[in-house]
Amino acid sequence: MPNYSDKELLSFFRNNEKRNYAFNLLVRKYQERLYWHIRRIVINHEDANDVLQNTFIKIFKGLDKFREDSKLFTWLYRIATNEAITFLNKKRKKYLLPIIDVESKLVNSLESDEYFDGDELQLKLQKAVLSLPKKQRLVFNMKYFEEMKYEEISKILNTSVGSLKASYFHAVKKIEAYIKESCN
Amino acid sequence: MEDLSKIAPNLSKIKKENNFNVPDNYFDDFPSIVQERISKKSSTFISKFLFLILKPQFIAAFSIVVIFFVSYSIFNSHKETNILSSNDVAEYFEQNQTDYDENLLIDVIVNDPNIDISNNSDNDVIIDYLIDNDIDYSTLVNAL
Repeated sequence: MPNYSDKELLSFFRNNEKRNYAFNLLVRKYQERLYWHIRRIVINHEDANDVLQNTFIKIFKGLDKFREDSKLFTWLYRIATNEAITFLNKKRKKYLLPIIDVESKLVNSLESDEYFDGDELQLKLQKAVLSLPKKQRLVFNMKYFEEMKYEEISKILNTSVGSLKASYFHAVKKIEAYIKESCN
Repeated sequence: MEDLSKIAPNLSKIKKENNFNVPDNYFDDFPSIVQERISKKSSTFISKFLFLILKPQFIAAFSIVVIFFVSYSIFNSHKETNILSSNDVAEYFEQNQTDYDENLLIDVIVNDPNIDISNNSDNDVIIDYLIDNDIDYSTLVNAL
């Protein structure tokens, strides 16, 4: 696959003759990163697949209006995050569940997920992450697993760096407590 | 932030790895699945547009327009059938010869605003022709 920069991909996309080709390259370039980001939010592969498809359809529709004020990567992540959260909210409304029960449903789906092969400790870690409030869970995933910088997360979640640091600290503390408790 | 091992010793002992998997060839196939959905969306948009046009109220409005044009054309064609052929006119005059005379015809021509009698040159030629050929009113009616 040719390694084009975001700027080149955007200029190809704005050319009607190269539009589909450029979008195909863009999907290939970002699909994995966005998939893993979404998957950590919605947990189940089938759900992640649906959300990822919807994310790219939204990206296709909105790419003409993307003004390049922010990095393309940040914009794509923002759409993916919103789509994943909207998906969970819809799920909650559909089954008339409080948010905590959605998370417990996610734990159940993780335990029965054929596409999760972590050992008991890894499962414990995921359960601990799922016990966090939504914002803390997002921040923890992006910082701990995806190793993103606070500045990048700040642009995606539209939250100050200070607030993100605090969220991450609280998340780590809660996860530590959860693991410690479950090990005893 | 402080070292993770200090604030979360248990967490830091867990190996950081991705234990989630995807089906085989998932990322190879994914771009074409997205492209397919985008093409379907475009065709769905066209269908939605057609559906919008073909909504009951649009159908009703369209039917009214069609009915109007059909009625109008039927009415016009009916009017055309009312136009008498020259044979019908001749036959009528022949049968009702006694009711019409030359003076009545002149009166009609003179009083009809659509007939311009100011230009006499054509009329003179016609009158001369009729006199030269000895054609009178009844001969004219017979000829018609």
